[in-house]
Amino acid sequence: MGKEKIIGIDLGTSNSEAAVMVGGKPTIIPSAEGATVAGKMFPSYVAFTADGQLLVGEPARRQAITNPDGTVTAAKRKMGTDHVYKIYGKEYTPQQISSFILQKIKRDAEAFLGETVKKAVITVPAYFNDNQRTATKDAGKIAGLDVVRLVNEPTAASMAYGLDRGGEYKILVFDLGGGTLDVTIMEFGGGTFTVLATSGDTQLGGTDMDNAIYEWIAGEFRKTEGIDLRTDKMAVNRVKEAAEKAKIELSTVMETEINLPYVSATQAGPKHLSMKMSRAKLEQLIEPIIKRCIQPFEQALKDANLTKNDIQKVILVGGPTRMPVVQKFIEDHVGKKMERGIDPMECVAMGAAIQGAILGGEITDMVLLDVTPLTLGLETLGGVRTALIDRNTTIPTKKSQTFSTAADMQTSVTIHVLQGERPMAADNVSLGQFNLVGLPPAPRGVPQIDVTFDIDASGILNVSAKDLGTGKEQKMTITASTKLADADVKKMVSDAKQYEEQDKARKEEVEARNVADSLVYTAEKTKADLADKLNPDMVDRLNGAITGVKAALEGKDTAKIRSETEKLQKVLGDAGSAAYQQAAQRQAQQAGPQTASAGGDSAGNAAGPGGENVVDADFKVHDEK
Amino acid sequence: MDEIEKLKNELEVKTRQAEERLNQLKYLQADFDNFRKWCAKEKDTITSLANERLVTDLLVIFDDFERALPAIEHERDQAGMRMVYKNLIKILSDYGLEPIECVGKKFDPNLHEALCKEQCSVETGSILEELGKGYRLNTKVIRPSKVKIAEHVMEDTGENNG
Repeated sequence: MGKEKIIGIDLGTSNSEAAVMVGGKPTIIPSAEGATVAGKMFPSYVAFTADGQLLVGEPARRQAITNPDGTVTAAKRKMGTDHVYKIYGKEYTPQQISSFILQKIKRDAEAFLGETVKKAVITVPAYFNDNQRTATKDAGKIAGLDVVRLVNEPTAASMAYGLDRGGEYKILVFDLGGGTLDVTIMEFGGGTFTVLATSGDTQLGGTDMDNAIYEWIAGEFRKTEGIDLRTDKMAVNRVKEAAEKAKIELSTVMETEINLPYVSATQAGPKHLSMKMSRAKLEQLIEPIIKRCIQPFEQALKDANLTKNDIQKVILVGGPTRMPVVQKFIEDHVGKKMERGIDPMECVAMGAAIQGAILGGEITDMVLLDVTPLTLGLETLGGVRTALIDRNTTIPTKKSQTFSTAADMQTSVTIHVLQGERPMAADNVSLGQFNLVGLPPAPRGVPQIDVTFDIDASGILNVSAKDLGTGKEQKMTITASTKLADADVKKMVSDAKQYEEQDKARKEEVEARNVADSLVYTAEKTKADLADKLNPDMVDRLNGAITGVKAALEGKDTAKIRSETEKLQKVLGDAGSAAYQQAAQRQAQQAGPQTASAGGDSAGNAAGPGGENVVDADFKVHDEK
Repeated sequence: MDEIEKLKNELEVKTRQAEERLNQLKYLQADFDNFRKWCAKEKDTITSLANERLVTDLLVIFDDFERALPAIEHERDQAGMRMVYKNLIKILSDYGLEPIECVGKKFDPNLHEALCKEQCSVETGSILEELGKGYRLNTKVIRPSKVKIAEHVMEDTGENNG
């Protein structure tokens, strides 16, 4: 029996979000229309057009102004009541309206996952009573979803932050949405969340902030230009969009510019709106709104019989809590740092998806997989660290790479196992080393030694080196490769960042040296191989260039090493082609009077296609360096 | 006897465990395979989405041109600017950008966003005015047209108030 996906749905008053576990991580389900500027996925709008068409989500929002009688929003506020929406002669209950939104989410989730979705976890406010909860479940049923569980929104948010994995604490969840504020105080212990108190304000949220910014922009424009933009529909729309964008931008920058060219016109010509807005200004504008959050917050504490010192964890939910000023307000007020790392707009849906995965058995029987905290590698020619397993690789894992010798007639290699993020071996932590001995004497680059790093699920690293020629093998086991204090890991990663430039330069220097060194080797070999085919002049040139590189290698000037290497490379190329020209000439002479077509085969082999073969071989020599 | 019984039981438990683990492994493998396919699909989406976001952000410049051009007084200056605008349109239309037609058409919330309505003699739901141009990128609506739509008024006006 296949494992069914259970999606998590945050069915909100003005916006809804959905998420599902993909590859072990909660992932937001995109709506078919795509997200809006502020990242909203499914506006909680349902509409019926005069000609009987049903619209859900973004399209329903788009026509709301022109079809107020046929459009329903915020049906969540009516859940569990006897309220009936009368639309064009038909009657709908709030759960029916909500079911249209759930159906749309189901459809888009199926498109996203490429499989049918039958089950869902839906979140509800902690203060929802039995009626409201039953209504929400019914909405799911109508939409064709088996609601496997209803989860409190603050509980889902806490789960997204991983607060359900043990420990005991009191949690404050501050959920400021588009139009409502919910403050919940919960207690976690023994694997369950208990709601201690809830409070809130149903008419307070991000929309109020957008309006405050809009009013300010329009007011400033009137002051400087004497034109009231609030009477011009198009201008109003542009200013409102600009206000929301400015609000979002000011969460990351200290000042933003609002530019609306040709926002209006007078007899004197076009008028442009151009003003700067600082974060300080924004904070001043929304201060009155933030102040209104204090009362519900104090009320919740009072109802829970707690003081703010009793709170151990603070969780923020909702788009407006992305604003630094809101975060600072809460942190200052509670005297605790908030939990970070998850988008406050997505955390409820994500928590619901996690709950869904737990209920679906997707999480419980999954072995918790660990990762390697730092890169594992070994030391290669010139003291360079060559990485085999990158940091953050999920274990168990196994990686192999083939290495060779650096010198002629080398009969042993040292495998020096390193851990760390720096490109030079000496800057990393040495985990141990061993030798593979008894290699048959051979020119450098010829022996093939397979090195394998194998980390098992418990983090034990097995390193083995095997000479493919003789089958000789040597192994070592390292037990401490993943057990590092967090602080150590952090330091090593930050060191790597700090010294990035320096390290890069050093590594390049070593690499230049390695290239030069191996080219000298190749040149000397070529000189010997082609001894009878090269004229003395060419041999002199080769010797000169080789001496040049060798001299450069004795110094420390990387640029000089590079330029000398290039010179040698060129001479080597010339020598190669000269040798083959000579060979071709000789062949042609030997072929002599024979007709082109008759001799074509043998002569052609040497001069034509044969020539190409040689170039190939030449590249091969380069390859080995 | 007891010993054999005990070992038998133990064997049974272990066998079951082994089977369970093997089953788990198969699921995990299948999961991984599916995840890989899903990632490939996701990569395609991200690539197209990245373009979409860039083009959507650039639409503001289109708007600015549309507003700026009529405001330029000298025909000569206008011609030059018009060419610049045309070049911009050309480049983005090669990427699949096309404007959404609206004026005179019937309002469609999949393509248009209504900002207001006006009572008039035209048929209800017809688009009277384009307040902001909408665009499609390769058939996907990346920005709906912002429009004013008509509300037909007869002698006998309904209770509909907007």
